[in-house]
Amino acid sequence: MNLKNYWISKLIIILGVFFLNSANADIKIKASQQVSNFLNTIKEFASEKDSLIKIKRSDELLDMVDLEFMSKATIGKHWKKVNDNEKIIFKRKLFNKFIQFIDLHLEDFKEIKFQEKSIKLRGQKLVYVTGSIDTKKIKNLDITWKLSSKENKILDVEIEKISLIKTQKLEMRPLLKKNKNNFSQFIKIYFSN
Amino acid sequence: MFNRILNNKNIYKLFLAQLMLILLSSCAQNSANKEIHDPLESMNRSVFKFNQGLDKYVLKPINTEYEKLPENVKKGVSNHVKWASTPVTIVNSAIQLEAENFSTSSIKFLLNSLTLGFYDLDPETKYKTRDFGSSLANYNVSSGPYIVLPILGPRSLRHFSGNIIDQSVSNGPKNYSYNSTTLPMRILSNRNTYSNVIEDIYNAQDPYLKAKILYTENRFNSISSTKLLEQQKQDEQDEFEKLLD
Repeated sequence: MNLKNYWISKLIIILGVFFLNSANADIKIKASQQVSNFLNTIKEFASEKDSLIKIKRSDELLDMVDLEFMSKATIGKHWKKVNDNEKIIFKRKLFNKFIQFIDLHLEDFKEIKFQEKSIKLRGQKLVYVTGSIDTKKIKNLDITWKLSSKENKILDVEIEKISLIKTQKLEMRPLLKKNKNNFSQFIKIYFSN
Repeated sequence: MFNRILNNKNIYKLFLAQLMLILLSSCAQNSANKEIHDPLESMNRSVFKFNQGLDKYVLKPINTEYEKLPENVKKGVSNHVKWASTPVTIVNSAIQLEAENFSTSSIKFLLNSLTLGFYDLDPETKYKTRDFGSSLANYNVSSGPYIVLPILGPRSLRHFSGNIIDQSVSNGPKNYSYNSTTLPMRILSNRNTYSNVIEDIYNAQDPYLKAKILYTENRFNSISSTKLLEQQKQDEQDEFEKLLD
């Protein structure tokens, strides 16, 4: 009887490890696919001239990023005090800024190539896809995509170890301090360019 | 004899660097803290504006022409600039007791000497760039205030004083002609490589602040120990997980 229990418990452990590994492998595969989809959509966006298809591509890009997370992470604890209307405006402007960034470097993004090097699970909720990017101008640029393992959405991008979220946060901090009671004014000034 | 000593520019450089080290040691700031103190902001902003003008009217037009050169030529210039600064990495890897970086950079420097650095004979082998500023950071000298220098751009005082020492390593007093050719090449090559970043800085809401943030982050990442960087990654992971709750 004891021997039977012993083997059953062993089997449960083996099965548990097997399912956990296959679940982790699934998260990694999905994250890798998401990154390549994202880059392909950027390439298509950059090469497209038809404005209607461009809008469609930018909507697809919007689906692949967690804009709510990005906004929360860049604004910090102040985000809780922002009203719903301001939140919507901020998120839209933040995304538009990203689209403008692609528009500014169209030639580079048309030829972007990503070489995946590793995929790692970080903690319970994050998965990092690391690799290098070649653009027309710069070769072998280190890049890390940070995704949520549950939603499989892009949370942050780190280029040459510099985090996009962190840079935005540091950039916004002094302006937020100046306009801490007037978020609409902050939005107006920050996105004035 | 006395005149010869006075004429030696390296003596002045060392004196200036020593003076800066004294200033640095008086700054009560932890080297692990990557926030750079900016007490000279108004002056720095003026110099930044001057650099911006210089870039707009001199460097950018030159870069537009440089851009038209074949990729191989630009790559060759970029390789040569990196090769020419390798002795600084070799010396500072030794100072920081980084044996692997010391041997890798030394071997690569000797190997690429065959092509004067214009062609990288071993592109797979990588090493970390080290300078005297990073050596000072390694021995816990504080970063000091943030400064913007004409032409050279953003630096911390520690980084700048390190640069002066590094100049003495890579260029002895007898080979200034060599320096006069590598410096313009370095400026051209860097302007070309980072042209996208420079455009992004100028398009920012506050270009001065953006340049300062990018410099600080990049410098912190390139001189910090693996342990410190891993700690930073862990803190960020904790913060992200909290936000995802």
